[in-house]
Amino acid sequence: MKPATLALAIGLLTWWIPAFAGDIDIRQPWARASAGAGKTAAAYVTIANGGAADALIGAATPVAARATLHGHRMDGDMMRMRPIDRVALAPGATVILAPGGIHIMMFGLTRRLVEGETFPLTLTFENAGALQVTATVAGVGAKGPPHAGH
Amino acid sequence: MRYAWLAMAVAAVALAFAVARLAPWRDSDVAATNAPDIGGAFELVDHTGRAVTQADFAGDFMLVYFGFTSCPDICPTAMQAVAQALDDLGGKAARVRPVLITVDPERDTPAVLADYVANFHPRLVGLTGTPEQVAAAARAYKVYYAKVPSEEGDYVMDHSAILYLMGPDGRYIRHFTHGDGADEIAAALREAL
Repeated sequence: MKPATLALAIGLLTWWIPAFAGDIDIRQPWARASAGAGKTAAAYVTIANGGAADALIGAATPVAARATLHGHRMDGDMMRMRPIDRVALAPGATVILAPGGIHIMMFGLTRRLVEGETFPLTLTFENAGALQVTATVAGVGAKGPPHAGH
Repeated sequence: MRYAWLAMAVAAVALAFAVARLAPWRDSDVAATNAPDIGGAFELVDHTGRAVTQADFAGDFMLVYFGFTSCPDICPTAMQAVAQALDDLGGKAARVRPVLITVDPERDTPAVLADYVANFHPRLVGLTGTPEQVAAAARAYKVYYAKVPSEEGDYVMDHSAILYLMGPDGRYIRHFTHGDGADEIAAALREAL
């Protein structure tokens, strides 16, 4: 392979990869402070998909033993929380994970999540692969992300 | 024609029954005689480790929620709404005792509850007990819960997400469902107090 061709190939590759990942825009990753000695906490994000159909299929963070996607189902007034396999992201869609809806359930916290702190959160997508973001910890019963600028 | 009138009469009676059944749940100042049979005596342990019964709350309004501390999404939302409503009420909130009764007594010991309730409001009382005591309290309040195992030995609890407002006489006044925020709770308390 000629050096010029190789350079072009690398150039194309480096241009193409971030663009591909860039189709998924993760905004305002945040979590609620863990309440007391509880070993669970919930994290939320807003995901805008500027590319082809994709899906959020997993999450991981060093602050918890396991992180799984959870949804709710109401049967009358009975609240049932269940793991979900994937959150579909249609082309052009923006999906908001928020309290009372789909959330990232973190089990076995390795440390207490304190309001104002941040922690790394890796989200795995069917096509875009793993993307790491920094989540900010809001109040224990916060309804939305902290107001800090991005 | 005679059958048509009969059918209409039956429908009217059915409708009257349906309205009578629904009314107590929708009307906040319903007469006590119509109130659903919710609440009553309980024996539990508060977050300081003290044994308590319904009598310890007599004379105060109670906001009763059944939840658990390892519930990071739904329960904190409800507790935050209660705390906000009490703050909105200011001094009048002194007549209201917010109570979280755990449906997960296995993990929610008094110490765990103490640590938890402190995050929300200084007046919030956490209640736990033996599994039997908790089951009896849940039955009295017509609350359902079930343990659902998840991976690696963890579990979550399915539970009725209802917040009850009980009067100073221990009688049911009204309830709030998930989605009713601090504003609805505060408005209802203002009306009741």
